[in-house]
Amino acid sequence: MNNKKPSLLFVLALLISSLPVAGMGTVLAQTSQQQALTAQAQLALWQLPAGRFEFQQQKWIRGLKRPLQSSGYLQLAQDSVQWVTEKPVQQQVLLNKQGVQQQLGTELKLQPGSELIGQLMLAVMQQDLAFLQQHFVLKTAEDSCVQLQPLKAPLTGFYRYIALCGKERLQQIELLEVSGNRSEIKLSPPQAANTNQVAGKTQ
Amino acid sequence: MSRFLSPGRWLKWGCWLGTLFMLLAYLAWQLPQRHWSSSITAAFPAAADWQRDVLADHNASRQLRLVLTGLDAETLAQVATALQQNMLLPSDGVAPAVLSWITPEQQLAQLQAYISRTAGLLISPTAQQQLANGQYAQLTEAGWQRLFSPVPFQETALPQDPLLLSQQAIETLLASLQQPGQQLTAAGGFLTGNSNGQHFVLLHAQMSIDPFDTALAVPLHAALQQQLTKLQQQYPALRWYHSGVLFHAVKAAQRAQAEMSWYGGLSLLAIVLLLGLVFASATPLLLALATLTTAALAGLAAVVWLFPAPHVLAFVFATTLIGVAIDYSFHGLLAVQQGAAFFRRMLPGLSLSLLSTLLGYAALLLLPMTILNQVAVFMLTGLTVAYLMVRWLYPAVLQQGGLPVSAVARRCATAIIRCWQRLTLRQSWSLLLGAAGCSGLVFLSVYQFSDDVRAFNQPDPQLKIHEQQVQLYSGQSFDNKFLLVSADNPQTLLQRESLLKPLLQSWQQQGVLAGWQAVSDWLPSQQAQQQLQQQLQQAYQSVVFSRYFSELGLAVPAPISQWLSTADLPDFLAQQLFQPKAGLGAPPYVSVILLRDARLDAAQLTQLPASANAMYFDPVADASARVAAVRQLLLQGLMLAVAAALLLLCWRYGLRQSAAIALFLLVAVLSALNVSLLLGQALTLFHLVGVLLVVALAFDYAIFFVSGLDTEEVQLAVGLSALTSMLAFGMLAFSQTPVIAGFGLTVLTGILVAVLTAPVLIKIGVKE
Repeated sequence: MNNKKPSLLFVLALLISSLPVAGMGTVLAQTSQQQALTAQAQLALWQLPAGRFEFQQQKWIRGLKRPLQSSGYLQLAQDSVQWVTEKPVQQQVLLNKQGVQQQLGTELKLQPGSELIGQLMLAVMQQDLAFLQQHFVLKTAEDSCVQLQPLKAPLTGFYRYIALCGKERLQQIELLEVSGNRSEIKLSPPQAANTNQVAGKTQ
Repeated sequence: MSRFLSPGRWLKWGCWLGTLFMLLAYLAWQLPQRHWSSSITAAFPAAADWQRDVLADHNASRQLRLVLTGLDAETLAQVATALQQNMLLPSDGVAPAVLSWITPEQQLAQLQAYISRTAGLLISPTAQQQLANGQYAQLTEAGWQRLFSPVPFQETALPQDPLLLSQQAIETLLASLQQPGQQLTAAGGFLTGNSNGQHFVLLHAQMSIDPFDTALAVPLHAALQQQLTKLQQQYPALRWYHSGVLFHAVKAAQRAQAEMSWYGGLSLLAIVLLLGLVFASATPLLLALATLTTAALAGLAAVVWLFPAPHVLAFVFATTLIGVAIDYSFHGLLAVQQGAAFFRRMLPGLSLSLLSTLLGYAALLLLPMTILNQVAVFMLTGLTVAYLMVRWLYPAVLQQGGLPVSAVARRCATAIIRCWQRLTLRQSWSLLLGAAGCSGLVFLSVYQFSDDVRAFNQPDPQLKIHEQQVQLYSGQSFDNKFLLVSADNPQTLLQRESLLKPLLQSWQQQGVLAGWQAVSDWLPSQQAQQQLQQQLQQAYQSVVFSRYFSELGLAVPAPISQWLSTADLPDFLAQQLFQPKAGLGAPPYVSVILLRDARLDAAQLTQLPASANAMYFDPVADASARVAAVRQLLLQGLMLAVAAALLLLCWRYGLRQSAAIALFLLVAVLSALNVSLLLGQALTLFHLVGVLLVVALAFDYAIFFVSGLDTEEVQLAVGLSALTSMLAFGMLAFSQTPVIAGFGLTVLTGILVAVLTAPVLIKIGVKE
């Protein structure tokens, strides 16, 4: 009997101590739910219309001391995004549900296995909530950002997170790859696009 | 009573029972250990060669694909995951897992690992040319483009390969594998896609077992079907399509087994009814059943003893044992009724009949075709045992006049004999010569042979739909035609493969080849890797590259000394390399180049450079050519056997009777073949096997009719035997497998013509 007493006490103590934890869990769940709702509302506000958007990209690649800088424009249509890099090199990438068609020499070639990346880029630009919710956990983050954390493979193998930031409109997209590479893409509104910005290969 | 109790009688019974017991014990011991084969192609090569071995080991036949559709994307993903979890058949500690799922993630991980090893060692043909021509600016331009692309890349290799040449080479290779209209996305263990607004999931699995090994393939197939049915009960809108050799192999095995039991059973039932009607006693029935059972068990034991993997189809053909063995049974039963003297007079005929039949079946042993060898062994053993039982057991068990024969049966036999006896000798000869001439003319005007193995087995229409649907969803796969390159070591193999590339590209430009997959495209030979490194190290010293490195802030890459080898290859490429078993003239190393939509003619194939040591291999065309060769051999063997048997008869009965028997055989054989031809069937090897049996039975009938026995008794025995044989073979004519149906029809017609015309030999046998 004596042996059993401490065990019973231990179980009781565990039960009692778990009560506030369980309560906290509920609160945490509610907070995540609220965050997701807020993030969804934020994304809905940032819906980009079809058209041309100037961009400036900074890309930090592991192994390189300095970030790579490029600029160009995105031609957003209902079912595709044309990603045109104008400086420092001329390059064109077409992103759609079929995948990523990348410039290889002078030709655009569909990259096999890139369908999800194509769909993802399109969904990010268009704030396709259905797609994003299916593949990511949405939550609000600092600096008026919505952070998208991949839910399952193969996206978990590519990205740690994607952050969409802005105030009244989508202004910046940040892609953090699992490999440690990071891309920061700043978007200008069509009217305010400054086409005279100078972009260099490296800073 | 004294005869019933005689020691000789009990000795014979004891011998029979002892033999039966030993056969049963041997089969009970051996059968559970044996794996039955059901592959049509496995039936052919007795002298297998290395090309066939290589392709048998090629994993494609051990893979299966499943398409799930009819539900929304999310539910489909749940169903696919449930199926993958429930169908994980773990290793039992002895054998490896029966089924393992190939996930796109595994393949991607393998590919990524490989890409990281290829840095500085792999280059696309375009970049290779630019490098060789000193077009360095174009190379750095492509490097910048790849670096600025929004698509993630394998950055770990950047210091070793700052131009991302290997990554671009892999992307070019992957793009060449991409098929038009194919839109598949990797999603947690499987591929997903959308076809005409319908979501679908594509699952890919690998079996560790041989799909033609029915003992293992049938349970796996059943488990898969059970899981799918269970999931469909849960999700009624779920639809699925499957593809893979497993489904065809199991279907063929089940069909062959069903036909074997169905036709064997019906044949047995017909015999039982016939015996019941003719003898109105259980004794002949039991004796015939004992004869057939012992003969079949002995045949089976001989096959199991001599062949490690008995073929299911061999036993479909072997059901014909019932037809021939019952012939001996009827002769024995009826002869014993006429007394010991009559029985002794019948024996030379029976022995001669056995000898001629054995000669015919022995010819099958000479053919390099396992299935026919197995049929031969089964029949030689079974018939010998049936003969011995009739010869030794029947007189010991039955008494003279103990079994009254049905009056109706006797009247029928008498009527047939009288009908033929009305003919004069001249009329008999004229009839034989006329019938042989007519049959010959018809045959010569319509005969055609086909050795195309694709026509041998009728694929199940349902399975065909499944295959088409899977192809529709998953895209076009590689052809069942290959280029095989051989060498003494892996490095020479890769070099030889590379020699073929200009030709493959030229064929692609001509539109006779849609694409290919060769190991050397992904893994250059060590010599090529070293050459590339030298070229790169030289180029790195140029102004263009120095500026590129400086802008990236990278140092000039150090020379690489760790070369890529076959051990680095991802699975999907490694399975194209083989080390065939020694012997059969096999080279030490072989690589298989997979071809897509190849339409190459003989002239194009002569362009294969001799230095590449490559050969084009089309397994279907190869198997068809082998069948054609076997058919020629069988024809020669058959003619040899007939000639030998006729010589034997010539010595026993004289020239005139032998000539008549030859004509009689010609009529029976040609009539049998003409029926198939007039029904629009091209003659195959299996029609010839049918001819072999017709010849064996027709010889039996002929020998008994010319042996000087009571013609009515002979007619009764031959008639009863022919009737049972026709019932057995007539059933085979309805088989869903074209080769079995062709065999059945040939034998059915042949026996019918033989039994109707055999009595004409009585008249010819009597000297005027």
